[in-house]
Amino acid sequence: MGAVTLTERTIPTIADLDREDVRLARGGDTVAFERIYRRHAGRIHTLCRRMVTPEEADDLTQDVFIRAWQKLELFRGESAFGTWLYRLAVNLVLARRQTHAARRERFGGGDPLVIPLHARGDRPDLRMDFEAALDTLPRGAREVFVLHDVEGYTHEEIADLLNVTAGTSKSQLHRARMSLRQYLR
Amino acid sequence: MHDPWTDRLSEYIDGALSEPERQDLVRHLDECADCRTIEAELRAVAGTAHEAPVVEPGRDLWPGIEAAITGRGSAAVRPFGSAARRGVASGRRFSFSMPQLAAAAVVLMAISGAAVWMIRGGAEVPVMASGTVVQSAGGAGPVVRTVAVQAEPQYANDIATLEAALEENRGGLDPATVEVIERSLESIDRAIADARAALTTDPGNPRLHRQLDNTMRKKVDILRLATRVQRAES
Repeated sequence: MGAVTLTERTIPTIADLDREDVRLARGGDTVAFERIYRRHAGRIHTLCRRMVTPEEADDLTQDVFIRAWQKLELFRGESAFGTWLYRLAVNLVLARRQTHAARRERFGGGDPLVIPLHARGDRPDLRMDFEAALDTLPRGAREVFVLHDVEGYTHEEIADLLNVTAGTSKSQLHRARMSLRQYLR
Repeated sequence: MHDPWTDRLSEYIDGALSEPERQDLVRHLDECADCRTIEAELRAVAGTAHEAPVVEPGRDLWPGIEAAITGRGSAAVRPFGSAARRGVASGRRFSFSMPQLAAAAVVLMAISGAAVWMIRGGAEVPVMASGTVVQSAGGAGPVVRTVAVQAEPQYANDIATLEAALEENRGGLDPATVEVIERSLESIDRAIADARAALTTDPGNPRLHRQLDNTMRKKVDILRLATRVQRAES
């Protein structure tokens, strides 16, 4: 029998699909670019959601894909397209944060306050989901935590991205974890 | 009392301590129940982060993206070249295209040019009575004076922030755009300098204060415009 089994078929990977759609999108094919968007929107939005406010996350996600469209010619295929897109998103998020930080400073706002530990402690009613807990962190601690513990960047890479020292990155990470353990235990 | 080992627990669970430090901390954990509890909680936090689910957008963002990259609302296959790239610049989220920027710059230059003329005494400018009321020296009645100088430091901060952002990515801008922006800014800077010079000789003149305030606001506006175009072009 010439039955074709699953193992004999070539099942395209995400990278295979991206490669073909990037080629088409470079030619101006927005339908191919929409497929790229559908494959990666969740991951990009997740990053944005964890780095900025929920209200800003959707706009930022849109900006990432618009910027990706503009820069498609610069993608040389040396890494997976998803990796390239993600890096672009991180850079855009961090660039945006500088603008927002200046605005917050101007209007007298600041990092969200961490609820004092004694206000939570053993209160099970104050347990919250991961995203809500992240929102309670000061901006610097949240960025380091997301980049390190969620996205797997090293302290040296984070130091480079955030223009801080690796030591600052380590201390911010510890600060974030110490705060989050109160919410997540 | 704060246990200094607590501050090293994140490095410990990340394997970032030197071997002698790690051995010291392991010995401390054998003796300290509090640190053992915290260590377990920190590991749980890190584990939660690794397993955190994807957060999908609350709405479909594609229509907005499509509108921006095509310059219209319906799906289309367009050549990816200069025309398509211009489409991005004129999309919904970037509401200023190059022609619009140029037009805005011309308007701003005209405004700032007019400001120079007015500051030099070319015309009377009506002043909104938004200031404080003080008694005139002669006691003939209240005199309304506009106090606009309060806004200047804030504008100065905004201008510094925007100029830094613009300069940082200057290379990403089209040279023609840079030229338009620089011409506009030079004109506005001249108007600001003239207003300040005039105020040194007539510091109580509400018309001059208001003019300085307006001109600095114009500068903030054009810098904001420029940074938006820069984002669209880079």
